[in-house]
Amino acid sequence: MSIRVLIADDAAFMRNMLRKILTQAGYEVVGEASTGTEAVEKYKEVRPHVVTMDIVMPEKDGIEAVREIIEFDPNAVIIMCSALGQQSMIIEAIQAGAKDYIIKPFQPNKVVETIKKVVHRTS
Amino acid sequence: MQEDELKLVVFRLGDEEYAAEVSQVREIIRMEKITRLPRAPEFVEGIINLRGQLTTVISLRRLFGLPEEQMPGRRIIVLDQEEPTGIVVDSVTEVLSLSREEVDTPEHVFGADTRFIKGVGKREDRLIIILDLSRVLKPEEVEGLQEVRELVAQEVRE
Amino acid sequence: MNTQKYMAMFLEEAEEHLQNLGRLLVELEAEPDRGEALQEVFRSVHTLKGLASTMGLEKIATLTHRLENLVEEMKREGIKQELMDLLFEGVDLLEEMLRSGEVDAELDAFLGRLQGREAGEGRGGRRSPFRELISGGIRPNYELRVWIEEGEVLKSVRAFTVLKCLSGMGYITGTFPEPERLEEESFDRSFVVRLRSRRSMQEIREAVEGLPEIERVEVREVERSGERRSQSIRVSTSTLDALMNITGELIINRSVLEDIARRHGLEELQDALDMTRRLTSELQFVVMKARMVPLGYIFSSFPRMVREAARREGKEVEFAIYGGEIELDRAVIDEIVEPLVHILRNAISHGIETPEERERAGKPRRGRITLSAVKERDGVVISVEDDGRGIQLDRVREEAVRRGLVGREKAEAMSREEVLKLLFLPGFSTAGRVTELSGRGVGLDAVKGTVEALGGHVEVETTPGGGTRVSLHLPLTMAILQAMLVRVDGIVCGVPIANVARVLESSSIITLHRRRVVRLGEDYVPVENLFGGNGGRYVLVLEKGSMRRGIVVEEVLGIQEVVLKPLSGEAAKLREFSGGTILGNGEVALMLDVGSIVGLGGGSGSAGDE
Repeated sequence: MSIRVLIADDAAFMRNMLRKILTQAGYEVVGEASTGTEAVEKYKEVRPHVVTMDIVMPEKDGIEAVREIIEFDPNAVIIMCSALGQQSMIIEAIQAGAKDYIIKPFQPNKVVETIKKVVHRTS
Repeated sequence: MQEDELKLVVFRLGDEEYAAEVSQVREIIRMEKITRLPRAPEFVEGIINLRGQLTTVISLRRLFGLPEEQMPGRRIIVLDQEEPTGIVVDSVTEVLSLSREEVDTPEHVFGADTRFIKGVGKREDRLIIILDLSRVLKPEEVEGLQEVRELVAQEVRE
Repeated sequence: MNTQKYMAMFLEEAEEHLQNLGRLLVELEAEPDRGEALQEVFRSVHTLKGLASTMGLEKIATLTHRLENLVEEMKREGIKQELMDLLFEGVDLLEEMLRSGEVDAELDAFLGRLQGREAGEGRGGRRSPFRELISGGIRPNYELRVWIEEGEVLKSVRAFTVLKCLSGMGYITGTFPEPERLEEESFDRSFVVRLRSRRSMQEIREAVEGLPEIERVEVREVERSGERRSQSIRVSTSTLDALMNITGELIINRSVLEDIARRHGLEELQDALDMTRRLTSELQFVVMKARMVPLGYIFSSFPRMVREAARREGKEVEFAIYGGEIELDRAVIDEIVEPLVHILRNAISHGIETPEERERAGKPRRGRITLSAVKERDGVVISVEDDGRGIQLDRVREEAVRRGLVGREKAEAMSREEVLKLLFLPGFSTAGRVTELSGRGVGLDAVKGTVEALGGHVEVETTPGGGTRVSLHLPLTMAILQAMLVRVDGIVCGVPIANVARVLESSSIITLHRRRVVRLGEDYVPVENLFGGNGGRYVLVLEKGSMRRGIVVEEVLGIQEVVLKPLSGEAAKLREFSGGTILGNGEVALMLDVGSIVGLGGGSGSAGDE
């Protein structure tokens, strides 16, 4: 059974890139969200194994979305996506329950490796 | 890696001049009371107390198979190594800078000793043998050296 | 990744964000209270940053990163005109860059101004989430060192996950470097956390090892929490010394009695003496234990010393001590006082900056120095750490080249560890000026010498701008022993008293089957001239386990307490010697390795052993 991933990012461009990387690595992208609110809704709907969560998004930012998802499902596996220089926000997200992070610009192998590791650790 | 200039500590041993790179030398001290170390290899002179640290001292004369002679100006060159080691030489004469052009690096003249002879410095009519002291004391080098000396001793006897 | 085909997409998206930004800024200026507008500005700038760095447009990424900080500041401090102006200017610049790209000079000037502002303002105001996890005023019982995997980009995040995990298991009482330095990633790959926890060492280790990108964890105990102290009384050191000496004399006397019992064949007396032997060894052990002194004994004088030194240097220092209850042999304690004083003075005069300098660097005015001792499995580690300016590796390199210790090229090629090693060379100093305090006393080379002579080693770690930590690793079981000093073949040698079975006149040597032996009861002990010399007046019967062997000695010089020191190089290869010691007159005596001497000939060769 392949790993089901939900991608949350407000830039279509980023979503495309991630989708490509993940699909090539054999993951199944089961949903995309462009706002924090949408990410929470989609999570409840599709119940993915892993969420990649951008931090800065309209309506509701990624950190708030993490809080809500974790409240709904304390075992949710969420990986933050962030640019360098956003340490303090990643830290906030980890405080909120995110499991790990990947850095933009994305390096395809690093993305895949991180997801693999987190899924392995939490399963 | 090669620097333009070699900074050397020059010392005498018998009739010849030798040198070591300054960077290999921690300090140079006067000869002091050495505790003999029985059962050690012949080239080991003994042990000294170097500011509380027991330091093994080696006789370069014995290592090179020169006759024993206690020169009045003898000095101990302490090498800059993890475990400090002292080397007894007849006298330390000067610190000298030689340019690369002033150093020859012969390949075959010294036989087994080539391993720890870095080169020969030329200054006016002097010839200074530049040693890599860290290699002089490597066990395998020492064994090699002893082999050579045993061979020589045999030849002399025969 | 092929970014070419994304470029058009990027420009399109960027243009949208720029227009959005322009509109928002105007709105904001009219209605500064609109919090959500500011949030939208932040989002646009942030998205632009992400896009730019993905496309490899470094300059735009840098600029947007700076603007992001600016917006964060506005969110925190309210919308000030000065900040608005800067933001407008920045967005104009951004627009220029996206359209034409040729604005290097303006960009540099703008970034320079922002940087100047940030530095001038310091980092006051915001409380670090790292600092929030620290509980002050609690004494730690564990010290951990955590290594983050090589190549990890956001070390601070990893450090944070570690702190967060640990704060769930007890109280974090401090870190090295300081939490703020961890946050800004001013550390190499490892950092230290002090923890108060009821969990076991193993639980703590396993919890941290399970976190992402953690390579290794070491946990050490600082003090056993909640252990009741046994009652104690004060005993003067001279009383202890006397006790030690009497024990030594007793052991010699035992040997005399054993000799009498042997000569007169008094078996009953011999049996009684077996008991005496056991008791004397036990006595010796207890006396050694009585010599253990808690480190607090010397630590207690340091706060005053630190305060005085800091005052003289015009520095403000907060000084903390942990692990004062850990015990070490008195002789070791005596030896390490001077090195510790030196390291503390270094920390004050070279490590900690002046209050003004610290403020400029965004640090609290008051520097912090921590002296701590922790137990390891087979030793004690005493560390002095400060949150000062750290050792500037380039200055060390520079100094080494200036002093002709290394060539320039070599110095520049040196690794961090190699450069730090230079500090231990004799007479080395990086002090810009010689101060009253640090200009005198021992240097780091002497610290190293002292610690190594005790059988330990010294480690230094440093973070530029973040602080320095010097650790003395000392062996727990001090190599001090009561030794009988004898002269063998002209050389002074020592034998542990516990291994001396008898001292006999050499006239008692007899020849048996062409072997020289002495008779001890029904036992015949072979005798040898250890270094092949000419013999001497006495025979020293050495004993270890059931093995005995006699060695001929010229002279018995007496019994003395000696500190065993390691031999190096060729000398260390000799099995006959377990080490050496330095006598009162500065000469070196060799300590005989009784085990290998009695074992050399394959045992006592006695007929009565079976």
